[in-house]
Amino acid sequence: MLVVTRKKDQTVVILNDDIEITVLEVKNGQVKLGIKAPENMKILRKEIIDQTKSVNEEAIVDTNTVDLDLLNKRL
Amino acid sequence: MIQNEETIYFENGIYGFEGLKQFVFNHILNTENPFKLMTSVEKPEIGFIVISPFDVLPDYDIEVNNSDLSQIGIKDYQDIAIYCISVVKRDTITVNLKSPVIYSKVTKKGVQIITDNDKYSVRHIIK
Repeated sequence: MLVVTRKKDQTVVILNDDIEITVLEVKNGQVKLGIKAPENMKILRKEIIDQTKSVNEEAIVDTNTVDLDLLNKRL
Repeated sequence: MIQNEETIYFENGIYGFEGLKQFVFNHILNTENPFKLMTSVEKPEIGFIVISPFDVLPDYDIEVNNSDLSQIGIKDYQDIAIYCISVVKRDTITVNLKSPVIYSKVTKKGVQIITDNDKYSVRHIIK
């Protein structure tokens, strides 16, 4: 991992992808980042990706035994 | 029972199952049952129970990123189908309203998107 030290209002640039990340605020152990990126870039908080993965893993059903009618009756 | 099947191609799979690229959506017509099955083509024993978010919250409203729309070839909003994956436990049923699966009814391409805000939960309890 590349480690770069930045102060408030300083920016790093990821050149070929045209991305700029600026430190907007550092307060109480939180860092507020401003990200400039092309519209087709998806920028997500990693923990939300991890949550989605684990919920998907929990959601798996065995298609041989699943009974949607029974499920509907539970509603 | 009248069934209508759609096979949808997910270029990136879905989160945690990046290797599963194709799913069949079973639409049973003339049914009151809001649940549908999304079955893997590659591993037919694996499926997900999905439900339209509008059957959960009639005023469900999300913003979909342009790159997601262009990835699946959406030109007209009428062409979008949107479903949310349910987790069924013995006592509870939850629905992931934060990360819906969307696909184009025209191109048959789909993607699971993540709406990165606090409006909807990955575990919205419906029962």
